[in-house]
Amino acid sequence: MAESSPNPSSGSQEHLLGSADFILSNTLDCIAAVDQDWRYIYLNDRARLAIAGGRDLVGMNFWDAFPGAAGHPLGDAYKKTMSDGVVRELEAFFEPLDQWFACRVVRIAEGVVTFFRVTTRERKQDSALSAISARLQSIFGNLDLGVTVLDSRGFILEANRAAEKLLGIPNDQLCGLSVNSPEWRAIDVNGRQIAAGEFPAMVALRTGTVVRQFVMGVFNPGSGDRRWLSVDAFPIRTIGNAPPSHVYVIFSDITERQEEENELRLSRSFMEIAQRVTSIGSAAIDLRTGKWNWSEETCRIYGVDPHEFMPSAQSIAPLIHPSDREAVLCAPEMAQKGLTPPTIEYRIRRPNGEERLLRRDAVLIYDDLGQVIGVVGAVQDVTDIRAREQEKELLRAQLNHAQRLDALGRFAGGIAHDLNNTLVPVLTLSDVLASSFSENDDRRKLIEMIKRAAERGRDLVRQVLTFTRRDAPNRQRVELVEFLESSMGFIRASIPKTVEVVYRISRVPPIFADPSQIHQVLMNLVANAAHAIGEGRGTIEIALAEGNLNGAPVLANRAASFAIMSVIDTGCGMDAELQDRVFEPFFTTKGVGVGTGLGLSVVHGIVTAHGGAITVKSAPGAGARFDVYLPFAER
Amino acid sequence: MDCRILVVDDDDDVCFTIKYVLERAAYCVLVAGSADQALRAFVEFKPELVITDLIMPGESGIDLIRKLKKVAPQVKVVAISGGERVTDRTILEDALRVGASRALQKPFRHAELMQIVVNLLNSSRV
Repeated sequence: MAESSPNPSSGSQEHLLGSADFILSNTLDCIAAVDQDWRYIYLNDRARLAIAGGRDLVGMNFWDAFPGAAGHPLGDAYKKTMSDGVVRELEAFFEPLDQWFACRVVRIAEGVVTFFRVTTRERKQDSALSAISARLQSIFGNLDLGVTVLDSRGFILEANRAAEKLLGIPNDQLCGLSVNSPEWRAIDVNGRQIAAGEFPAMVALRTGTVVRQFVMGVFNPGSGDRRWLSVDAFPIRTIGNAPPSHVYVIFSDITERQEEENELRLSRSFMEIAQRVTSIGSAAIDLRTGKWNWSEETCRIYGVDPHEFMPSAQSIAPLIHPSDREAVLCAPEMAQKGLTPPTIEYRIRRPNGEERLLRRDAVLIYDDLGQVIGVVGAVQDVTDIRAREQEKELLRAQLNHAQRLDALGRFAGGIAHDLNNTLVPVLTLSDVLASSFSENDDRRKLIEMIKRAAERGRDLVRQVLTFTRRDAPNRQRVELVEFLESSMGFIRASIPKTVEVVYRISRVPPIFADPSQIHQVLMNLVANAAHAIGEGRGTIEIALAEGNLNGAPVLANRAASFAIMSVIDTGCGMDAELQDRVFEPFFTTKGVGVGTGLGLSVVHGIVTAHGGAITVKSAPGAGARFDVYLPFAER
Repeated sequence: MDCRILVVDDDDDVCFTIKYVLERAAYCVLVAGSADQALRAFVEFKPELVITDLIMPGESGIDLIRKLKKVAPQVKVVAISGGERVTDRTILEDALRVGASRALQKPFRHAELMQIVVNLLNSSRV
């Protein structure tokens, strides 16, 4: 209630009212006047409408018309002004009329005049606004989200309790801080310091656009640790398109989530490292979405770019060997039926054309209800492993073969020794005995026969011994071209006329060898070829060339280049099993009394003792080819 | 002639054969079945020539030659063998290396043996 000094009474009321009637009727205020006996002497139209429902109250007693005014602030103000003449202003709710009134009560000579307005609507609006404001204030204060309001320069004007807590700075210190303050030690998800200009508040102020879910790590001096915040910033414009005058910054603590994400990211990177180290990738299929997921290592194994390649049945099919495609790609279908896809090895062709052999082991993934929801495969590149295994297997086979030959050699050597002893009396005494008979004596002829048999036995044993012997008693530089030329006569004489002999000889560097043993090798191979051709017509080709050990046994001398002496026939050939055993001693296909079964084993022994190797290529009915690899003499 | 020859071989038939042909040529022959026996006989018999097998049970012919050459460097030795060791060198070569005068691969002809024996004994006489 405002009060002012008494209003000096003016001239006559008739005059005043009469001259101002036009004004009084048209003013926005309500005007009512009572005399000293509280009788209404004047109400303008607005007053009649406001307090009397349009009725004219002139002549009525104020207290009779509004009995509720007694003891009410409005009635009190009337009374006081009537008695002391002080102008009073007040606003009060008057229950009998259910309205708010704002009044100015003025003493005049005749009594009291009241200028008033009905302010009920304004009053209601104000109280609604203050209720909203109170609610907002309460929300603002009790929100778990941190909220700060910054001015256009980046100074914090207001901050709620959560902001205080999340930032670890008391409210009184927080308000007035700017984003440039050294208090902020903020980093982004990659651990890099965030410059003041890059804070979401500043970005929102600068660009006028909303910044959402910016993740930053802020050091919290209260708890002494770093909190991860997800920050939204809303620029506020007071007028049209003007630059933002304020910015609301709303943030939540996502430390736990962020740390989980960091952990996840870390464990994912460990997983990738582990996969890279072991060369085992992973490939997962989510059966609920049909989505495929490949690890980086799997992409590397397939030779595709992990950032570009989108794995799917369609995209990987062309990479898989056509005959293996079905086995690989049926995995999701099997998993749908609850079957674990079997472990398989399959061939792929990388985009660059490289062929690899992969192994896949798969497991099914179940949800809590036991439903299959996915299938995960471990993918391993086993190309090199399998190649090594194969080489090892080959070496093992060759070692076995060599050991078998060695054991047989020792066995043969033992027998040869005993046989030689046995032959001593036969050979020596048959000489003595023969000389005791005359030349024409039949008995002498019989003894000569015994002698010849003993000599054959001795030669046989010599062959066995050659096989067991590892040394080369008489090695020298041998020019193979001359050697072969000098052997041609022997060769021709030793095989049937129906067999043609063809030479294909290139000059090669000299070898270091025992010529008689090499001769034995050649003659044995030629005899073997002639035997394979048999009675009919055929050709034996004898070739000499320089070459490498391409395809020859890996156990042999690892020299880069060899003399290759080949004997190729058009005979009956051999199957694989026969080829496997052909160098074993006592192994023969010839009838009893025709072959000793030692020829090729002797050849093998000699060639090996010379640091060389021998290979055979043949097929039933397609002839045979023996290649003898002999190392060159040191130049 | 009365030249003494000691024949050493674990094979009785070989011993008999050599003894037979040498006695026919009027040599005085003693046989031993092992290196051990041979060493003992050598002391009594004092042979001018020893013909020894190389591969025998117990001590080998190679060991025997070494020992003989130690006690009697002038003694002539002929090494005979029917087999060859599985090494880089033949056992007959080994025998020559440790002091044998000649090496003879079994089986041998009557003439081969006689030629060697005669030559060796003649050269020792000269």
